[in-house]
Amino acid sequence: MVRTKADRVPSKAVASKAPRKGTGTPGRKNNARKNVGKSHGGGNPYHPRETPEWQKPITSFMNTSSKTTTSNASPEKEKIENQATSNCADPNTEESAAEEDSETD
Amino acid sequence: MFEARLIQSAILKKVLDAVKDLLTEATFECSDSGIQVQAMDNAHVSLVSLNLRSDGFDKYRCDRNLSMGMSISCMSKILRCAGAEDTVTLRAVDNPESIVFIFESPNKDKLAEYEMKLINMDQEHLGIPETSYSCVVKMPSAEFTRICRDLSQFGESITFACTKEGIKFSATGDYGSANIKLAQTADADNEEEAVIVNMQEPVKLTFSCRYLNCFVKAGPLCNQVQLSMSDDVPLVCEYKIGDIGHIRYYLAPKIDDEEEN
Repeated sequence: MVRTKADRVPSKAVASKAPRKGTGTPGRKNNARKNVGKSHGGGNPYHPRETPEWQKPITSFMNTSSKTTTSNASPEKEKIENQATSNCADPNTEESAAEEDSETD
Repeated sequence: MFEARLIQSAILKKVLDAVKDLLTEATFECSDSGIQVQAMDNAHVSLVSLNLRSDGFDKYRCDRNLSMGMSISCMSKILRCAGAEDTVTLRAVDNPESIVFIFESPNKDKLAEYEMKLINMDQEHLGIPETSYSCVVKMPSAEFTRICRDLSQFGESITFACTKEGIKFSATGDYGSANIKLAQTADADNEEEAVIVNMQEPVKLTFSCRYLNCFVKAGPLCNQVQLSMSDDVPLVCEYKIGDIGHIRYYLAPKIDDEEEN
């Protein structure tokens, strides 16, 4: 008769441990089956790939029209923002203007 | 005032799932006719064109044309807050700085509002040239998803060879090679499962796996996908969105430099 690991374990211990093992493992197996069913009948997961070197940009095949900026702010707010940017954006022009003033003086 | 109401929030959730891997932000053009989005991925390799017609919404009002720049990841997070059965309403004023998403449970005992700030963004609008395609293939979207995923195990690109008999997908890599042939369906009784080839001339084109696997994210939107192909012209991968509109992806094929010169 072939001896198994179970034969070495006392029968009482088997009786107390077996149910716990029994409830754990089959449950996992069932979950795994459910997951397989959801993913279009199995198959491989997506294998991440780099973009090939030969890939050309889509812009090479389309007519590019002018760039526009989406601006959702109200017209009044835009005016204020534009004024603020025109005051802040060109510090060099202000400096050069100041220099010019000083030269003329 | 802009207001668009959809009884099935699931449609909008699926649309966002279909673009969030490609786009970080996009401009939603809202007009009387509906909502349109045209945007390229960050690398400017692919183009996404989304069209949702106004008559497909359960309620639609757009007093003034609006261009609303939105963060796709933020929008996706907000839409995940909606229940599968919730009704979704998008609302914005005429000069909006933000858009409001309103989710209403089916028995109307729960009402959730999420406000998302809009972003100002430069957009480059591309004119898509009208093309008469050599091959137009309709096939089950789940099958196309499976093929793109399986063949991406083999290499960085997939070759589509289309003849009047059907379409063959192939990939080659370090492991070896893979070929999948789909024959044209003889009796198209079940349209959803049919493979239909409308061919003027046979084509053989190679496309990047990386982008194809982004396009197939739109699979849950429609049981069928339509692939339009011509030599040296971008592939158009189209999924219908119920009776409300469609999403189209454009991707350039591999073009040999020798042919160019």
